[in-house]
Amino acid sequence: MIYFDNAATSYQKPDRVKKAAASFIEDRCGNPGRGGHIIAMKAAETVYECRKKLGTFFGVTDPSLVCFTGSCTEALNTAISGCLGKGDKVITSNIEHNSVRRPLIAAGCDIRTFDALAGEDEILSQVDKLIAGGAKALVCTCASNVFPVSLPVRELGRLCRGRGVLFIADGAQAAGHFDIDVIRDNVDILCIPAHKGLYGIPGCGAMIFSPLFNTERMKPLLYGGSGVNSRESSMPFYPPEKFEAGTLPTVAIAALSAGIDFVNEVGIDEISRREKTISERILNCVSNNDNVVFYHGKPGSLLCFNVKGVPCEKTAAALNEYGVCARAGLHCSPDAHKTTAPDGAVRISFSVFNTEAEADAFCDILALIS
Amino acid sequence: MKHRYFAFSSLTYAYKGKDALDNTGIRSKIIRLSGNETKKGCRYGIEVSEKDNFDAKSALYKYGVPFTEPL
Repeated sequence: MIYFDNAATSYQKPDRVKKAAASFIEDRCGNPGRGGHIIAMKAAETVYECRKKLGTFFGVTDPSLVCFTGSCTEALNTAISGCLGKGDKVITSNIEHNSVRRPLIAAGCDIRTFDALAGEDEILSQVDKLIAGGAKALVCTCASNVFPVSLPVRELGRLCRGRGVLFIADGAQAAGHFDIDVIRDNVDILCIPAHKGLYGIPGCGAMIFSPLFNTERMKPLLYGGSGVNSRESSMPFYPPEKFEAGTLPTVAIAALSAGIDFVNEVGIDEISRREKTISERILNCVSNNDNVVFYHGKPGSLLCFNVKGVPCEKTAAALNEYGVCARAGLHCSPDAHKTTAPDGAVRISFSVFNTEAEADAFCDILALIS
Repeated sequence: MKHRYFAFSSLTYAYKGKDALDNTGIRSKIIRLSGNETKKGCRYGIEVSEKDNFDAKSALYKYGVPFTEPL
């Protein structure tokens, strides 16, 4: 089996991640912040250690600025609905995942779009003009989940910081694939999943706040138990507990902690190099195959293509017959497909566990089915 | 041994307080405190030896971790 669907979730997990999840369930699966006994406190220690690691990973040393959620989607919903409302002018891109697009629409924002496929200079020029026209926030992805395209996060952050525009970044496809530093890059709120490039397990996401962002201006999405100040009718005033109503996904947090250790040990540059090697090999292999078209094809953590004249779902099903796990369709990003493959495409996405032999085998299979 | 206690706005801040004391070489333990004095309900704090009270307070100020002292 060749697993090429790592943009959906990384299937092959490091041994230490599996062990961390199992070990947590075995001997520390209490409810953090819901008691003072030894098991609750062991769970709390695990959560706090992960806050520190995750914050440091993204350039934030204060663990109270790391808020856990149930997913990256929940993190984005919390950030968007907590900061933005009806009529707020918001800049976003034309390649956003529905986890950005739909919350912005649901919040009633006045959405202005820039072309994220236009190249870095043009992106910055468009965003600069949109900010000049008045904007409360920029909400966009750091990297597309459809094409091997990343956005100039640092430069976008600089544009926003200089003009007082809130910057909410979707790190779903960037976390663990390339370096993001919330402070250096002037991101106000970075939203990430645990189970993709950080090699954790599903069920956990996070918001990482810049120390420069005033969390007082943000409403919680969820209200409920926080383990402190239980007689108060409102949520705690400060993060992280302000945004963490209910029991945390502790097993996934324990796994994430081990995942961050793994990524730190291998190194983001090395992970990125390996993923690019795989994608480069595939692009070279298929360059003579006129029956296959790659969209925005350049080395990266993912590639997107179609076999000419064949519906994408049929291609993915054929790949599956040969043991290749790939994802077809619109990838929850309908806007990204509009100008390239309106009926959808096949995405193959890589992790550090994929090999060059798998890339070669994939090319052989693609030649057979195309 | 007599102890002194510091209360924090949340469990995370209690851990931040403990980190500050660890960095200063002061032994401490996170505990659940009664919330009755503040009328707010449950809360967390840290316990230190009475002899470390002054140094602990200084460390918490130095590291910028807000706290209160329960009666």
